Amino acid sequence: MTTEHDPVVHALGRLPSATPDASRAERVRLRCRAVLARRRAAAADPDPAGFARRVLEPAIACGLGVLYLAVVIHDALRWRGLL
Amino acid sequence: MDRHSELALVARLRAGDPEAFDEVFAVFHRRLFGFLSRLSRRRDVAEDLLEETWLRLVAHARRLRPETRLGPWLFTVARNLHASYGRSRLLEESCTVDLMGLWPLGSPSASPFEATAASEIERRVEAALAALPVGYREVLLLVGVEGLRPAEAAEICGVTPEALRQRLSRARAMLARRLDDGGQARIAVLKEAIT
Repeated sequence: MTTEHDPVVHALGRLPSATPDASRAERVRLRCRAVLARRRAAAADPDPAGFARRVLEPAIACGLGVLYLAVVIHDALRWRGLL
Repeated sequence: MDRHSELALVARLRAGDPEAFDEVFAVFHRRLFGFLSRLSRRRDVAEDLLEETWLRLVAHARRLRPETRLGPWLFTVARNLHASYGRSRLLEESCTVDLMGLWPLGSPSASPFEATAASEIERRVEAALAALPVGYREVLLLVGVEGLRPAEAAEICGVTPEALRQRLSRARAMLARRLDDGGQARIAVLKEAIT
């Protein structure tokens, strides 16, 4: 028997539909719209401060680290008399 | 909603269009609430899980695949959220069913649907449905109430179509038995329901 012709399934299909709380539904809808709008705005206008935090700060820290390491190696070699 | 409109809606959702969200919300909000409230048997839980379902949609909107089918996607999220909720309660469904046997109607308290069911038949079907184990209840809700195709229901439940077919068959038989147990002949009830 297919589900379309099954009396049990048919009886289920005739059950009354549910009514969610209207005020809460509206709050949820507005909240989700706000989330979407924020994400859309963020995608359209990348945050310069965010770019600095994600890219520039690690790059500067890495550069300073490499410079420090180079100075240490240079001093060590000079102390050994290899330079 | 036809497939062409659905694909257009998905594309707009991926672009973060709030108007597209409103359209999806209008189509599915009531259906998802019905599914979750019958699944959880609690209105407050259903409202919470429904809110979380919508928040998941907007959080994942940009990562939706272009060919996403919104109905199955939303019902999958709702179903998984309910499963997580069930696990967090640390109360096995089997225990719930055992406990419910202590009440004459099979449920410790009337669900919102039972309370507002217009007829005796609807009330009895709601009560019988509420008394089923959650795994059976969810397939009957998806196929019988929401009208989803068994293949879609299988995808939502994370089982093969064959496994779903067997589960659906067992669920139908169990629901029919519970209707019998209610005190009236099942055939008479169903005849009345479909006339």
